[in-house]
Amino acid sequence: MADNAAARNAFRAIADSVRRIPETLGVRATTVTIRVRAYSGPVGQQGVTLSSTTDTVLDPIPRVRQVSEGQRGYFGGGILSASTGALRVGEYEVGPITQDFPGGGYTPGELAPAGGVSKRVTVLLSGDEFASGGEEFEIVQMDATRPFRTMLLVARARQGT
Amino acid sequence: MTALLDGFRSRVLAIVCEGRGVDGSLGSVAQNRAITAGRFRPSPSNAPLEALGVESLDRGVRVAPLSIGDAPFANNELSSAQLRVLSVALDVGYVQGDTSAFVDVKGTESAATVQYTARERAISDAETIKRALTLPAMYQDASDDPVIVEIHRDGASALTDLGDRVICRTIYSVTLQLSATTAYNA
Repeated sequence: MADNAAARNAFRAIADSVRRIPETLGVRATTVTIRVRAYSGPVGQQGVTLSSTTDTVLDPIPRVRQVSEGQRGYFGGGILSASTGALRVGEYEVGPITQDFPGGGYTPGELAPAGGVSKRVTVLLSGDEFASGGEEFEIVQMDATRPFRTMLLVARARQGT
Repeated sequence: MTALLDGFRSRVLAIVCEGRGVDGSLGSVAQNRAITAGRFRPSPSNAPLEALGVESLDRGVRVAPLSIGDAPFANNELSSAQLRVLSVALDVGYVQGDTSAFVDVKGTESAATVQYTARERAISDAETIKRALTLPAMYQDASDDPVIVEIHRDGASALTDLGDRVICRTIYSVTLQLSATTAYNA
């Protein structure tokens, strides 16, 4: 029996509509942005400058929750860690994010764009939990095996350019 | 005056990452050993290479001072010139495995090939850095404070394999001449 992509897309559209309800009710306080920075050469090399920054704000806003305070680490920080006086690389679960369908959703490639020596990809989380302007994370795990949703696990990474 | 190791750190990065001596201003021998600017790049945020995003890793350099001591010199605290021996690790990172997009290729390197030969690249670069960094004409400048008296490699350049990356650590022994009248805490 052949795969029924049409049915899957229809279910994804329904799932996407349902996932907009919390946003409408105002209970999605944390926004999620996929940020891709392109540089004129290898990141950090002498004379290399930032060429462009491309932001993709996920719509609808997915659920974000802290799953682990994380380990102490070089790139730790943020409001919670500052209050405890330790640099902690917190981990957050982002999702469910609806898989792509005609008219919406996201492919794995859109959520985790291909990187490169002159490109830097981070996930920007903004909201009450995070410092002003948001904090940057990197994807440490992505599960796109389910038919209607993608889940991301992100950990705090180097901030800024 | 700034902190004790500010000048040393700047000098090392100038030699390894910024092409110090390439223009011939330090002599022909130094020019021969100088490293072209951009061949190596400092680790962003001075981050440990083990935790660094892979886009910044290939030929990323981190200067990591390990210790400082008086030995093996007799130490007269009343002398105006104080000699200290600094041990500093120079870490260089390389991506390895099926990640050609993150390879910072130089010269005739091909990313599709060298992504599988990270160890050979690391050993080769370790020698390139060693021959540049240990040449007095490259690191000495009479106006320095503290003065860098001598730099030599302490032991072997060793590789650590972390799966997606190889880190080459070379420990250098650096003799510094401090001024007894400078506090180095500004």
